[in-house]
Amino acid sequence: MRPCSAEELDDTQELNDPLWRRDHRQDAGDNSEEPSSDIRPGLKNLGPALLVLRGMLQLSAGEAARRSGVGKSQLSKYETGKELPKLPSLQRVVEIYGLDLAGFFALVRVLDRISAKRSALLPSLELEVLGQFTTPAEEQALSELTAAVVRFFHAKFEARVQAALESSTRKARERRGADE
Amino acid sequence: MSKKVPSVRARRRSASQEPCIFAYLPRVLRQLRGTRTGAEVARGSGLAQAHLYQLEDRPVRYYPTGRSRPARPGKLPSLGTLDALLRYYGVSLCQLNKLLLEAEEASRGDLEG
Repeated sequence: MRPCSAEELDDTQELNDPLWRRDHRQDAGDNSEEPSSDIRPGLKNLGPALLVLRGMLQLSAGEAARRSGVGKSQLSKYETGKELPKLPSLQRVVEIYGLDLAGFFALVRVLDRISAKRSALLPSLELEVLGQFTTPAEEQALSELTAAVVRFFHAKFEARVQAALESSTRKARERRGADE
Repeated sequence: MSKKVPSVRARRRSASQEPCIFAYLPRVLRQLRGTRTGAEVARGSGLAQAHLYQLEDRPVRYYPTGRSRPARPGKLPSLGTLDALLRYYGVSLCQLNKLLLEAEEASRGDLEG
């Protein structure tokens, strides 16, 4: 059993961050004055990852809930990040998307990095994530899936940015028209 | 004739009876703690010490007075708690699957041996 080194895991470096420690203590219930957040820093993209996977398979929420044996509203809570799933529930949900938990958490990490850097995924990062899988077939399958997820995520993100840009230009034009 | 789809409750019941890989999680958590004390790990990970002990398997213990304390299986942590603990141990959630499979193999080897 080999615990990974600090260089391998960027997540562990957050332990040295005093801000993370404060949030962490609040989450653990040490400070009852301020409301604590249920979602921990490393699990922020768990909901979006579930949503992206479901979107890729073009499954409706009802269908995904029916196949996984989780309630529809509960699945919605997981996807929107309102609640963290219990481990067996998460496993059941992830299984219908054809992934195991290791693969799923690798994807969550990829999404974490994309949202943190707001840039294209570096090939080295992808390799680092995939390096934890042993068989070439697994690596190949996960590599394809990761690429598909990243494309989907970027498409969504770009569409949202495009819509925001268009709406702001339209508003600016209307304002200019009103001034004239 | 359409095939009858089992209800959500029936599916949940059958899923809870399936062998779950997380059955080995308490053992993995105990192995990760190693020689560190519970207080040290609890302080570092932000959990309560009693909570941490509940998550780990406890083997039977015999005292010299003849009294014995029964074995107790560990509880399944929530995802947030597990994330906090694994962060402290420096293990990512991605690697957990591998550790669980190793623990499963080891326990199978113990049974056969």
